This record gives sequence, structure tokens and C-alpha cells, in this order.
Amino acid sequence: MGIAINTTSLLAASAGTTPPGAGQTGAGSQTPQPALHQPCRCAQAARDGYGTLAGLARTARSDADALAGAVRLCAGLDWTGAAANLCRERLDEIGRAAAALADQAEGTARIAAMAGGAA
Amino acid sequence: MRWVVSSQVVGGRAYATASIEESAAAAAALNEQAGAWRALAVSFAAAPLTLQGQRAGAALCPAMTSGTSGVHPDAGGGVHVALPYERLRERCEDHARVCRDVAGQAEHAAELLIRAYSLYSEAELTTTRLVDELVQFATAAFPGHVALAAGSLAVGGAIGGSLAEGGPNGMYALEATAWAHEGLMAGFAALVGGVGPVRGLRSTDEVNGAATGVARVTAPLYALVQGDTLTVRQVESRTDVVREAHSVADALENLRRLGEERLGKIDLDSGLEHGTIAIQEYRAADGSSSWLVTIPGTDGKPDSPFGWPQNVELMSDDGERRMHAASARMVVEAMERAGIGADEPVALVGHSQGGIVAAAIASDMADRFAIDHVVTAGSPVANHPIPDRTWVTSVEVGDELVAALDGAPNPASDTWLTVRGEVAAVGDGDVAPTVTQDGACVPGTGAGEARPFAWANVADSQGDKQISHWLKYHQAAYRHATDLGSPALDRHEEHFRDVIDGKLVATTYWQGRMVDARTLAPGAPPGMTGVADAIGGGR
Repeated sequence: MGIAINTTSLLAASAGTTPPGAGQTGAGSQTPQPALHQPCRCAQAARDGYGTLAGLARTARSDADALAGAVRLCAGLDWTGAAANLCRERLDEIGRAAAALADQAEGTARIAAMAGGAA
Repeated sequence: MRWVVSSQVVGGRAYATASIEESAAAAAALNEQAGAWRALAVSFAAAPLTLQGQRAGAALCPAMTSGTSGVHPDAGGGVHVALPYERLRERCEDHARVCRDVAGQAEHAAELLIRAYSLYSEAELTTTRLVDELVQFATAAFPGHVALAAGSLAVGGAIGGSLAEGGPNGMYALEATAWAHEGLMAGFAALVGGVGPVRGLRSTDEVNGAATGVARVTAPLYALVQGDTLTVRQVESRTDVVREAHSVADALENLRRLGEERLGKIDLDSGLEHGTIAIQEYRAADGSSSWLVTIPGTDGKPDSPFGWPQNVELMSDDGERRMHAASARMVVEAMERAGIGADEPVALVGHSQGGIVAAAIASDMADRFAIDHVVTAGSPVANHPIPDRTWVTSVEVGDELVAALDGAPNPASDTWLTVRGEVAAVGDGDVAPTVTQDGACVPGTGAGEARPFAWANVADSQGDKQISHWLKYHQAAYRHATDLGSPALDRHEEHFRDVIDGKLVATTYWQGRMVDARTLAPGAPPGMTGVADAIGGGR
């Protein structure tokens, strides 16, 4: 009696790949798979990468909102003079820069998503 | 290398509690945000490494190895995925840079706010007093050990600074020991004055007590050397050395011009010599007069009332001894002869010994003149009993030593405000922003642009470290405090402006000389007298 071998899986495994669905236990799974059914780690790496960038984008948005609050506190002070004026100007600038950064960070995460990280 | 000064305002009229709380909350929020954005910068900077670590888990993937991003079906029907790692790395690095910039700006804004509102000045003053008393105690109790330690610190500082600068420069010895100057002075003064280490902990005027004892010996001896009779005469200036002033900054600039002109450091072609002061009369719209007296510091000339030994008398804790100092007598006589009325508002501005003279007159001549405001620059006046009615604006620089000779920090009260400047070196291209007469702001360059108003440049200070007792350092300190927008300083500035309200009517210059009474001709003209007799101090 011969041994039945799934040649497709074997070839795929030798290349570090596996057919869609083969051996997968769900998105983000880290469960070790039997050698002959090892899924390619690329999809997982992409998902992890996207997760990293999406997390940073969320933090950036939250920090930008908090910074806007601090800038508003400064704007309400009775502080006058050259340094005060320039400081308020700079704080407005960094408030805008922070909001723009949050947008850009979300854009970075979106790039990862579109490249397959959100699959 | 150029030199800059960053300032801190101590004392002055207390702010409304709400204002303090709001500014403290804003500064705390900005500092918190600076921390958050710095952490985010670190996370973004580390993200490419994280992504690479994740990518390494699929090293054999054909999509990963080809480096082509996107979703790639393979020949066997499989799908491979690769992120655009290079592009993501660039974006993450760019995000990290923006985050660092946001953090830096937020932190800088918080620092300016803290300085402008003197948020931690009380705590810092308490710490300074504590350090002073501890150093004083140690000095009084173990003078040999402390002298050795202080000497080592000074020599080490001088060597380190000289090596960094590339040539010998003893000024670094002052910088290295600046934190201990007041305590050391008080400690050694306690030894001279016979004040025990423990008793010294409860007082701050050891230097003034010791000065009284020392002056008893030095004043008569110096009178033998330079003569015991003061002559005061009005002199003419060919040019406007002391010009119309309407702010403390204007008055300090006039003080610098007069001081440097009479020492020959600048040439304004005035013909003014050493031992000269200026008195200005201002007239308000209602016809009333007010006065501004400009008093430069020690010139050290043999026949000058502004010699070195006069400083010791002026530092005495005895009012009569203070007003016996030739410099104080000369200024009082000039003020009387200029016609200053008993109830006419007077502002005195003085540098070094000139500031001590101003403080002495405010302390001891309150029944003769209405001294409403005193401005001192680099003057050790912490223990002078200046009445509360007189507002005092003091400017001191950390490592100048002279301002620390009183052995104590200045009192911090509603009417006594001190601007404390700290000297630092920056690059030649680092120029602080400046504010023009019409209030426009000229941006700085280099670090002065990146961190505007973190400090003020000292005029003509490029090159090696100089002694920071020169008035231009105090001017930079005051300018920085003004630029910061300190509400306490604004109130003092407003008070000073009110005292000399009106238009300048006249500027007169007065020159003092010390002569031996035996050389005076019989029936010498007025002016060859002293006021010591008038106040009962003719010793």
C-alpha cells in the first residue's frame, strides 16, 4: 500500500507557501502548523505590520487631540509680550503639524492595508 | 562662540491665584504633551525595525524576497503578500522627525511659560537659601577644609574651562563656584565678625556686620591715602551721554554709557571723567518734577570717591557708616545741589558700587528724599534696610561674584524684584530674536530660531569668556526677562515709568574728587564739603 502525498502542499511548503486556506486557523493566528501544511508567513507579517502602523496612527490622533487641548489652555492665559506672541504662534503651528501628522500616520497605515495588511 | 543670558524673575507683586493656577496647568499640560510626543517619536523611529522583524518571519516568501509590494497569486494558486517596506520606513522616519519637533516646541513653550510666570521661583529661592546657609555653616565650622574644597573646585573649573576654550581663562573658576559664592561669603564674614556657625544659621547679614568692623580700620587708613575731604562740582558734557529715559532698559543703557565713558572704554567725546554721576529732571504735564539719578560703579582712581574701599563702608550694617562712604556723600550732595525737593519722586539707578550707593541712600536718607524706585545691577544689596515704599528692581548675574558679596539672596516681596541671569555659551550663528522699538519681532538664527527667547544675546561678547559683571550682561538679563513677558516685571517697569513721568527738562553731570583738607585754600568754594556732618556721621 502506497503512501498518498499531497504534492501541491509539499511543493508549496518547500517554497514556504501554501494554498489559500490550507492549514490556516484564522487571521492573525500564531499557532504552529504541521510542517507539510505550514502557511506562508507573509500574510501574517503584513497583518502584523498593518496592526503596528494602525496602532501608532491611533496614538498620534489621540496625542494630537490632547495637544490641541494644551494649546487652547495657553491661548487663554493673560501672558503678553514678544515671547508670548511667538509662543502662541508656534503652538498654533505645532497644533496644525500634529493634526497633519495624525492624518499622515493614518495614511501610512492605509498604505499597509492596501498592500494586503488588512486582508 | 558667543555669550548669552537666560533669566529668571524672583519676587515682584504676586499674581492672582487663578492666573498662577492657569499658567501652571498650561505648563504642565505642555510638558505632558512633550513627553507623549517624544514617546511617539521613539515608537515611529522603532516601527521600521518592528516591521523588519515581522518580515523576517517570512524570509522565504517569493513576494518578500522580490521586494515587490502588493498581493501576488503564485503559480500554484497561492497568494503572497508584501508590504512596501522601504516606503513605510521613510514615512515612519518622517513621522518621527515631526513628532520630535512637536515635542521640542511644546517643551520650549512650557519652559518659557514657567520662566515668565516664575512658577517655581519660590521653591528655588528656598533651595538657594538652604544651600547658602549650609555652605555658610560648613565654612564657619571648618574654614580650612571648605577653603581647600572651594579652591579645588575653582582650580578644576578654571582648568576645565580653559582646556575647552583653548587658552588660560580664570573666569571659569567663578563659574564653577557660582552656586557657593553667597554661602562662602557669609561663612567667611561670620568668621571675621565672630558669629558662631549655629547663630549664623538664623541670620543673613553676616557680611554687613563684618563690613562694619573692617571699615572701622580701612576707612581712616584710606582717608590718609586719598584725602579726607570730598569736593563735588557740576561739570559739562560735550555730548549727550545720558539721554532721555522712559524705561529701566533705557536707564541701564544710559548707565552703561556713562560708566564706560568715564572709564575710557568708549569714547563719546563728552569730556567726562571718573567719579561722575548724572542727574536728570523730568517734568510731568501738571508741572511737577521727578528725578532720575544715574550712578556708575567703582572706578578705582586714587582721587575718586568711587574707590574700592568705599564698597566696604557701603556694605556696613550701620547707617551712619554707610553714609560716610565718599561715594554716598557725593551722590547726596549732588542731589541736594541739583535741587531735588524732599517730596519730589526720585528713581536711582546704579551699577555695582553705584547700586549699593542707591540702596544706602534709599535706606538711610528716606527723610530727606522721596526715593520711589531703585534699580541695581550687579550690586550686593540683599541686607540693606530699604523701606517698603521704595520699589527695588535688581539685576544679578549668576557667576559675576560681586552681586553675591552680600552673602544672601535678595528678599522677594511685592516691591522687591530680582532678575537673575545665567550665562551660557552658544555658537557664533546662534542669534536670539530681537524686538524692535515698534514691537516687531526680528527672528533669530540657528538655536535662536529653533528655541526663540530661550536666552538673550550679550552685546559684543563673541570670543573668550569674560567677567560677567560688565553691565552688558545685566542688560541682556533684563532684556530676556522683558522678552519673556513676566507680568511681575511689567508692574515694576510700569512703576519706574510712573516715577519719571514727563519730559526731560535737564541733565546735569556731577564730578567728585577726594582731596587732602590741608591742600585746600582758605575759604574754599561750596562743594568742598561732605554730608557726613549733616547726618551726624562726621567721623
